[in-house]
Amino acid sequence: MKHSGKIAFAAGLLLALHLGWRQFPDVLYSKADQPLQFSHKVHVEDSGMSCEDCHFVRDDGRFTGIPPIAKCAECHAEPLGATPHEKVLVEKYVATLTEIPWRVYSRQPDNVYFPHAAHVKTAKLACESCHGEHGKTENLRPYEQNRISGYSRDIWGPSISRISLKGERLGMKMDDCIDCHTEKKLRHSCLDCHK
Amino acid sequence: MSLGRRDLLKFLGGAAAGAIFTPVPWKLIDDVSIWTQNWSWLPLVPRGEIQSKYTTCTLCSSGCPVRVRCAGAQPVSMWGAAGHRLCPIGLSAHHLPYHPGRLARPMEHTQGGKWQPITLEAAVERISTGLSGCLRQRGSIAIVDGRAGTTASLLYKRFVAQTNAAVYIADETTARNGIDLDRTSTLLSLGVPLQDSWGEPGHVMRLQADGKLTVIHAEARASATASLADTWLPLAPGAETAFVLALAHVILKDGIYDRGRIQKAENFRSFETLIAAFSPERVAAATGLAPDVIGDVARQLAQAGPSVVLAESRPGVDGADELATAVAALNLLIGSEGSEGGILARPEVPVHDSLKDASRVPATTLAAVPDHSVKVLWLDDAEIPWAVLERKLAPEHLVISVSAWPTGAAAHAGLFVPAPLFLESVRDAAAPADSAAAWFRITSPVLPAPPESREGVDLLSQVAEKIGLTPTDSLVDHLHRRAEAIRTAGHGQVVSYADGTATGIAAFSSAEDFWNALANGGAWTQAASAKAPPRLRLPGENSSLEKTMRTATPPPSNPGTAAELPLVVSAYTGPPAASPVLSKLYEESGLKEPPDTAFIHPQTAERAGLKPGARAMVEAGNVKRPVLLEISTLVMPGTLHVSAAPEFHPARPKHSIAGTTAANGRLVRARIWNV
Repeated sequence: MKHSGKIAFAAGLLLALHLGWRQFPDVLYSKADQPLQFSHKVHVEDSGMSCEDCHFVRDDGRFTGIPPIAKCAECHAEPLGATPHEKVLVEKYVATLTEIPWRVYSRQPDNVYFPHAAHVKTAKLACESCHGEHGKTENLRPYEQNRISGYSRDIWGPSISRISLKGERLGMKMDDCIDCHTEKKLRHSCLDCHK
Repeated sequence: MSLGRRDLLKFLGGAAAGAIFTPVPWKLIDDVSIWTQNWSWLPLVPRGEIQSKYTTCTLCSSGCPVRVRCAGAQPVSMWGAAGHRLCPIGLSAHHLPYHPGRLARPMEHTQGGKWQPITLEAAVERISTGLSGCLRQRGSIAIVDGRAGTTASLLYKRFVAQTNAAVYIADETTARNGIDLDRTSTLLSLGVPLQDSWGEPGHVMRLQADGKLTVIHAEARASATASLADTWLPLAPGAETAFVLALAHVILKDGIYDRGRIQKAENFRSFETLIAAFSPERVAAATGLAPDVIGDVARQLAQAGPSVVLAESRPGVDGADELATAVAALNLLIGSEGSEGGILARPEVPVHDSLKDASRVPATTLAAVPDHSVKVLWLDDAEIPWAVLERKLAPEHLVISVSAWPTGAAAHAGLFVPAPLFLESVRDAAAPADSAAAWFRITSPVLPAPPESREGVDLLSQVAEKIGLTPTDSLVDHLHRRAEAIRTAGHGQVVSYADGTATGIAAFSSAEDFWNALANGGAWTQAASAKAPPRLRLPGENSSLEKTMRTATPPPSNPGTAAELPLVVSAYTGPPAASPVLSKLYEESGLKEPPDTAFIHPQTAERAGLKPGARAMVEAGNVKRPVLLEISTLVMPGTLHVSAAPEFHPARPKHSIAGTTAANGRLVRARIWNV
């Protein structure tokens, strides 16, 4: 056949593009459910809480991160509702004061020092700048972990290409930090984040 | 349709071309590189509560307050506390316990000059045998204490008091006197690394910036201190004593001193006669400084006071005693002894009754120890050139070193017992040179010490028991008792490392409260007060200063060939190791000069036909050593500077350039040629 070579080349090209763009991310990231479902929406919209009610900066400047079970126990000493997750929360974790082994989407590697106080308090950066609409979600999406690096997918960002046509922030890699600092004309050096 | 081999290859080619335009290769490169950073065997910071602990850095005598940031139990960063800054080495001191040059096990030297590990019990046995063999021979045991003025020093003295066989060798100058630097107006430094490793980091610079202190630095090379001084005097190497005496000459001649006080000093007339020979005109050639420059410096010292003159301390080195005598005389002349902004006697840190007798045991200088008389030499963090110590050793001898680092003189020890680092132990810090106050500051362990490491005094106590002498309680016990003695005495205050606030000692109701305040980050201090010395004594005509003019010879103005150049050695002091992480912050050459590097002025190199950047050989006395030759405009023309680094190779230290200069005098001449 006259064009069989071109067709074979094109077929190989298209197959590689398909596998690389569509299949590769599914292979690269493993998925795991969170130990418990949690609705930010219920807490923020229905209960009228703000991000800072649970994720706050202590007086000494340290960020609390994910609140300890003691914080949950302040309201959930008794079940608030009849969902199966509420039952697990109260019986398995609150009653025994066992910390919930959350899989943290935004966990930075050990070699990164990220002060929330400097960003949230001093620079008045909104939580959404880095965490997107996570604070309005109804359910916790599965945690995706890079099988090679072990990092959360949120560090790289949802788009495997790290290209955003809408211009929103992509992830939490060092490049994203540098882009933001450059955009805001902030000086930065290696030791700011890598102590 | 049939597909052939060629089509398959084209298919694979297409796939390869397509893959390039997918994230696969690029993402895999990123992930694999991250994966290599997270191998399980790589040390990682443990997860845990971030907390701050406070301790005192004892890497040098500055005793800086330190905030140690810990993740879980692991120290991950070091910061200065209570308004103090840390030097670059202090900033990464938490890496030092893991430094590959650190020895954590007792070692002995084999016949072939290599280290061989032995057990602590075997080391104690060998030391006991060595000590018991010379307990009846007066002066045959020498203990060299590198941290004079600490509680450990008292325990060494206590041992010495038990036997006539032992002498205690230490430089107690800083322990007894301190400089009231915050009130000093003019500081003349003779080669003292004021900006590098002297006193609290940044202290001198801060006073200069505030316009409170003028620094005149005399050194042959444009070192960091010289560069930051208000005036740099490129003083020819070896002419320091002549320069100091010329300054005294000008002050006496101009009569710009406290006549009523100084003329009553012992030896005044004799000193006047001695000084007459050191006119600026006469020493100008030897010092390389114009007579009017010497005159101006002398007048500035005398008239822009309070002034202090400091010289680099080189214990045991020929010529050092003469320089110290001359500097003391000049300080007396300009009225810095016992006056505000000058050199003040430090208030004594109270001592518990059990060590009061020991505190009266005098320290001996190395110079007072007869050559070839020492059979057992005990080194505790002593930074004395080996060639100086070697002269004192009997033909049959045992050298014991208790230190974390087998470097410098410790590299020559027959027996090495590791000491814990300050992050691993409880000890007190020596007094800082840039303060005249009394201090009691202790370290708090944040890491476990290696199981076979021992504080020197604890090891000696163990040995003492074995050889029939009275052992002492542990250093920690004595520190507790001293803290209680301080509290009972009721003077001074405790400065908190956390916020710099001071609390009067009366506020501590129990010994435990006081100890906890120190152990959790606090320094007890008592301010010094100005008090004129009861007896003034100047060196006279018969003093060793007389030979100064004979030894101070001018450097050749035109060396012609590189056959004979005055050699200046930048000896390495302070902790022998720096964390490799520092190289990310600073160029290592900016922190410490690279070892075995010779620096020569371009003019000198050109005249001598030496090629920079090439290997060269330096020969000084009977020592020949390969060096890397660097051209530097910072060194004085007609001189040769060699950086002497700590020796990590015990087989080589006999070829140490530093040892050569020490053994042969303050100034030797060296040959250098390209190889």
